[in-house]
Amino acid sequence: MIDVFLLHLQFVLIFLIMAGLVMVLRSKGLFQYEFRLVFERLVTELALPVVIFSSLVTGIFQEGWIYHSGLFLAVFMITAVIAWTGCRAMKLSRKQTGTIILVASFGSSATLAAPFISAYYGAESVALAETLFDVLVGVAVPFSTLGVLIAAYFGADDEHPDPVKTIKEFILTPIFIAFFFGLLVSVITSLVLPDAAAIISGLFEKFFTVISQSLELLIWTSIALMLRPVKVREFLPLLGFVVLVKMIIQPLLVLAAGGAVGIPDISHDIMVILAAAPCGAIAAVLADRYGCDGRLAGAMVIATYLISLVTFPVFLYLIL
Amino acid sequence: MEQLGLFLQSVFVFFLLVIFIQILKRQGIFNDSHQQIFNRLITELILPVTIFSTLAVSTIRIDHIIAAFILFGSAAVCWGISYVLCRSLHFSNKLTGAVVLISGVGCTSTMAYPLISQTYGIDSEAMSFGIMTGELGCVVPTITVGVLVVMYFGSSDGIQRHELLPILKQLVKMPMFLAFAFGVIFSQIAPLSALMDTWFVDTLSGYFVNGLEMMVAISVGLMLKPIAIRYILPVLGIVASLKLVVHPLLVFLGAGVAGLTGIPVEILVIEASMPAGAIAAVLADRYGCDGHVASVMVIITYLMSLVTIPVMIYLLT
Repeated sequence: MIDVFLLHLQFVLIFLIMAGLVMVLRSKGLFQYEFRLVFERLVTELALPVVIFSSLVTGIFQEGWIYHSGLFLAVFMITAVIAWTGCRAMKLSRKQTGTIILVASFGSSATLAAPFISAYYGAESVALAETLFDVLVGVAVPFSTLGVLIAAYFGADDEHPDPVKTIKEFILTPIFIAFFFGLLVSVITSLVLPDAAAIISGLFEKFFTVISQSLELLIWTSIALMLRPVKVREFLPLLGFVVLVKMIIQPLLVLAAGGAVGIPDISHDIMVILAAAPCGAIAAVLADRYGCDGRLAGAMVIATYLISLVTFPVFLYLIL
Repeated sequence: MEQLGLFLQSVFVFFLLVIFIQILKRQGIFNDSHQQIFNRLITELILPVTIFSTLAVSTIRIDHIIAAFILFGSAAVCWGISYVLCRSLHFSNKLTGAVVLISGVGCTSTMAYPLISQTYGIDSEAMSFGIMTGELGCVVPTITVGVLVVMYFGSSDGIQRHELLPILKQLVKMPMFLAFAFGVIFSQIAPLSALMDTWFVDTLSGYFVNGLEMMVAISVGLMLKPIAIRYILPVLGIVASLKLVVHPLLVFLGAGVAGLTGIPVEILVIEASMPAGAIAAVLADRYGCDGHVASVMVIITYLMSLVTIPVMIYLLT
């Protein structure tokens, strides 16, 4: 158990050090707050679309995993609704609402949970393959669709944005285009051209790898540049709400639902680890990129990573 | 020779990234001013972490030093020839700085290491020899002497030229130089080296090392601008002949003089045959030299190397 706790602690430290190093450069004047936009664009216009496309085209899956991912997706939707309801009740601004929904629904599944599972179960393990599939179906799919839509809708400067215009803009985002074409290629290759996926994968393997391996650095650079002082009195209630929804309710729902429907142990464990992860760093970048409250998003990510040092081991203790 | 497929893939990836960045630039998502941001990220953060993490866990042997000396000595000769040619052609200082640097610095870590790894195996003795030779014979001279060269030629607006002391002072304060110095110190103190050789440090530095290739490609992609062929041809003549032909030939001769045979010679020839270094282009631009020309040279020599590398490896190994 101590090993697992230490592993999580090390991952959190690694990401905080990455962000910290960029903040040092920022404090020396080599980087500025405005530079975050460049890294955010790189994440949302290039790196993330490529990662989503490649995951869809080259991902491997087993039939049973779809069922597990579907359950995870349902829990995600419930969490998003709870987050939205809470924001309405607290009468938060549109931009804050967008941020809270995103960071309370999407966890650091690709940035923290997947590397954690890889380190714990092994990089070649079935557990990791299933994790990547769960991340793809249960996180990447809603992220590429609903996530971007939420960010674009709540991040719009207009108080009452035209839904049709928002949807049009959403459809033209590189993330959605990558998702759409990735899905299309995936369906075509699995139904009509079974060998094509392997050819595409082989041809672009290194390109996909180079981009996906850079994503982490880009994200933490963006987060570090996004950070600005927040008013503690305003921030603490929101943090409490996000911690409750993302780090307690979401994993509890997965824990309960998985137990109720009898998901095999290892799949259940993976889903709980994914759900118990702190707020999504990519979600925070997306929030800021599309005009939601980036300052709140950045602070929320850092704060929940620190809080996860307590909450994450509790859920690990319950399942492992 | 079939291992060259991997090299082809590396070139393909680099070009694909550059093309993507050019598309995003044309769409207005990126502009010229953004290039400096990536240059800073590379020189102030990613490269220092990469250099430190590689050197701190390394064991430097005498054969590494001999091979590195051959690699660097050959590069220094190329730099000298390049300087003389630039001066005789009356190139500007900023252009001279860029041309001199990229004439002797190849893309060792981004292109040569994967090729060596594919040829001899990732955990092989040859791979560790290749890394140490590349780091000591290419990376270290580039971040010390190479940076000094581009700072000197690129400093016409800031530091007075012909005043080396302020440039040297600036150099030793640079994160890259500090990373090199501390990396060597750590490597010589066993407990510190062991501390660096842990999963935690390896994972942390891995995120930076893995990001280097993409950031460099982005920076080169943003640096690229159309340049008149008439202007570029003499520069290309110097860089291509020195970097792709003279450098590997000199290394081969140097290895012969030093009595090296077999795999060490093959590795040295592979490392010296690499096209002009993308990181060198970034450094040239970062310190005031002509980054546009350097980036165009990188792109062209990458293409030319698809022919010259197999020829050089076939002839010299």
